Amino acid sequence: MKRLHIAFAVLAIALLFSSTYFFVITYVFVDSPKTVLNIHCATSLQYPLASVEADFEAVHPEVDVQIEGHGTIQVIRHVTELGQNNDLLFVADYGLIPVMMYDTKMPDSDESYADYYIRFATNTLVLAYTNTSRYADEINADNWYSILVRSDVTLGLGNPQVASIGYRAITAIQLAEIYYDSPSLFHDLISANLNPPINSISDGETYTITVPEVQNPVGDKLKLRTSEVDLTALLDSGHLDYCLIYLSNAQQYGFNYIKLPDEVNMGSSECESIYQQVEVVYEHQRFATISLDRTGETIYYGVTIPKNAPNAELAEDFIKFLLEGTGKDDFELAHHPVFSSSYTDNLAAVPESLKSLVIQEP
Amino acid sequence: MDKKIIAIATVIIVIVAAVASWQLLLQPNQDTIDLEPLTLTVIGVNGEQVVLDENNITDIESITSPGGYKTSGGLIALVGNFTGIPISSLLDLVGGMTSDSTLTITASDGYSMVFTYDQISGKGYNTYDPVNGSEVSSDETLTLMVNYLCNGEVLPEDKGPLRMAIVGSSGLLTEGHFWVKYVSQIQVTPNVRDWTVAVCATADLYMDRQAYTADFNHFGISWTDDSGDVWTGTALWRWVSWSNYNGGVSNQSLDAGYQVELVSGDGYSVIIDDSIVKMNDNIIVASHLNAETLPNPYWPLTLVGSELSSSESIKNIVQMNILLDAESNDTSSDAWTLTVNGTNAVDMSQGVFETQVSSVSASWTDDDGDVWTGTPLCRIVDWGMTNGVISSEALADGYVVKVMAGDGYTVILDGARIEGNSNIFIANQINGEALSGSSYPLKLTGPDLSKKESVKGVAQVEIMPLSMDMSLTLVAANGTEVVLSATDIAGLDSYTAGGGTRSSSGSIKNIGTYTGVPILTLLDLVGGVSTGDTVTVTASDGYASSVTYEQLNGQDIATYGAEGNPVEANETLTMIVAYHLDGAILSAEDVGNLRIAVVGPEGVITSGSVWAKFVVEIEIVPAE
Repeated sequence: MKRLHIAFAVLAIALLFSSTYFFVITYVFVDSPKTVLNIHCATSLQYPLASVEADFEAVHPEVDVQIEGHGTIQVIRHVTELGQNNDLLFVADYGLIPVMMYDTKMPDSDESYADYYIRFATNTLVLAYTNTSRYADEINADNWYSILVRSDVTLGLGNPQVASIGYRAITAIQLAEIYYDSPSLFHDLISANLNPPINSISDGETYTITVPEVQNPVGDKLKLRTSEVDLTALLDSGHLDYCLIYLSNAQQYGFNYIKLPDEVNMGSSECESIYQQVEVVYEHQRFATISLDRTGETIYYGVTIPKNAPNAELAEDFIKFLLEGTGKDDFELAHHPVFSSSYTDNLAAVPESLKSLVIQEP
Repeated sequence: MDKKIIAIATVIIVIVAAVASWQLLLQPNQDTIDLEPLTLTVIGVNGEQVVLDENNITDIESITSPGGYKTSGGLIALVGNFTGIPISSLLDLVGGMTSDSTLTITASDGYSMVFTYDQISGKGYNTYDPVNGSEVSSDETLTLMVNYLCNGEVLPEDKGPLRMAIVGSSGLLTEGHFWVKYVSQIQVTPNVRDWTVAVCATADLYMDRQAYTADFNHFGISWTDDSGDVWTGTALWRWVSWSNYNGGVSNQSLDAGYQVELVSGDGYSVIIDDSIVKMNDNIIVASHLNAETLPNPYWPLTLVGSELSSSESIKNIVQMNILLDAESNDTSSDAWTLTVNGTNAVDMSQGVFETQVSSVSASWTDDDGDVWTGTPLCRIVDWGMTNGVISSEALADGYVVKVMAGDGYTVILDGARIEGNSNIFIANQINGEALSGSSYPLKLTGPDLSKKESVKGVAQVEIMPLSMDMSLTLVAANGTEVVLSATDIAGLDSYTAGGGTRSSSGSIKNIGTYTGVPILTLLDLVGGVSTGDTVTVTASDGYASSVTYEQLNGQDIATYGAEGNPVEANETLTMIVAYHLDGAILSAEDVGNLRIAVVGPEGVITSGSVWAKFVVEIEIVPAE
């Protein structure tokens, strides 16, 4: 009888301990003590920002940097239309910050989501390939466009409907048509491989590329993907011969690449007027608030802190870390150098701690 | 001591059991789908609309299947089992979808995404491995659904209550941008975009897409530019010829010399001289590029060709002006106009009428020896079809022509009676002189008309689609019957207003603009109705329904808002016997030639129970 009582007591104590344990686990240690710095970035910045994240967290052990990569428009839309409170937005097309944020008011406020950007880096487009790509031993900076039109060569581009790398890629193809005086290049690479086609039409001075409401490749020559992440995966696995991606990404993933002329690669400010010959317009506007129509211009990356950022001061620290600290070296190592002096369109609105690091645009 | 231990242990067990029970009670009930209030609007290709609420959504048969999506950043963002309604089930509510249309999904924040017919059918998606995210090719037909449960749970506020999902038995991932959140509207959109271009000369004509297509099918030509793009359309000179053929400009005027001015939507214009235009197939008004409708900003028409400079290649053409040399301008006076009415009213000037007469003339010597000269009435109808008065499609199933004098006297003629008939014509001259007196300016005359059908002082010709098969029997309270033919009904004063129905299940249908005769006007022909009377409406299949005196007067009829919610009527309701929906004859197959409709100035939605189809008889049942 006594044994039974002891066993009963042991069972009760075990139950007490286990229930106490689960109660404490469930209701006491719920929240991490770390402050979360929430960053949304263009996918082409994921690679270098991962290094910056690690180094920043090493210096700030109380901070958990969380980075999410999206297309540039989505990066901004998560804040302005989907109601997320992110701390930092890094985009691959700085021009979208004023378009999407300056005139958009925060809920229950007269204040807009942002009133400045910091233009901190550029990039150029290159033609990436591998040793197993068809005609890899033949292609060079002079003949690349004629190799691409060969019937057995496959080409990957960003989808212009959803990715800035996409509208830049088709703009670059049109610029190549002009530069190399190869009048059917755009048609042969783009229009002829999509149904409905993406057409590029000249009025004698400018070219208007019209993106239809759906993108539907015909045959196997052309593949459209949502970002360079998918394009590089296809290239790496041999499912693509070539793809147009950013120089930094080609170097980060270790691909071979052809440098394109400045008049084509969209990375030279001296060629701005040439890029502006090409405009991309959209038959379907995906967003209620903005038009996606883009006129060709030099590639610039931008960053801003939304006015409703929960950790704005920490976000300033992160930008500072990037523009002048270890983060700058991380970008350098990732083949994506940050400007020695970054630019802003509204110095007065830039946080005090960052003002010395940026120059007012003329 | 033992008793104390047992007592303490018992207390502990009770506490633990209570805590465990409390925890269990916190778990949501997995068997109940409790969606938050929502509306989902489904719009078919013909505008048919159904508005669903959260109860309708969960009442429709659902499927559950694995799937997930990857972000553009390469992150596997979501993998799970998704429950929802296959998109095909929703589209079936509004007539389905065919390969010549696309589907636009719109979120409550205004974001939208377009899906192709192939994607609606589960094809054409890039797919990814749900474990490692790498791209995999697959022949599996996926299912696009409107999703409301993920792993058995309703969607969180920042995703739902409805979102698009793409699922399949293999659980493959798809691209995140197709997984539209906050879905609020699903709309089938035809791929065809209609347009009308004004062609202005002596008379203004209007070339619409349908009329152009007819020309294009006969005279379509192509030109390939230096980039290899193929432009297809018709030669510019064909447009001048079309205007000439349809009475817009005479041969004499063109022979004296002209220029063609093309005007873009943004106001930009170019002028091409006739020395370049005439019979020149190298100047093309293009409607297609690489076999597809022109995209913006070129749509609907762009001028292209090997003999044009780049500045002359004008896009987005909205108007053409045929500029006649000054000496050749028609100097005849335009003292009067003839209104040609249909879907639109267009005035035919005296000059244009005379051009018609010179193109196709008709004459007749009456019993008094007077020679009447003019143009066949059917020619006026043809002119109306090519000048934006009414489309040829609208008249395909029959029509009548109302010829009205300035004093209101009206004659109604069956379209079949006038087609190709030069013995019914509108005269503008008698014995070689312009009409005068009571006949001025025009007279409907001809050997195939009775004296009663002759109309002096014609001011308007109205072309009205109408099925000649229809008839309506009215039965008076005393049993007297009056049978109305199509022309009888067309002769009664009509009323046009908007309306639609809400079914008992909440579906909103039959939305449109209806034209017909107010039912009270018809009943007045057989003595009218009094308080307490009812009316029995009988369909061609024998089905009969009863309408109260109050309902005949637009009262006691349930009214609803655009989303099917009951609302107080804030407009006057009119019950009509309709013969037109949106300017066209009613579908004989679906609703019959005549139907009861309840309409109002604001397009009221009313209970479908008071509407009736296939109406052939209306009988007054006197109060007992």
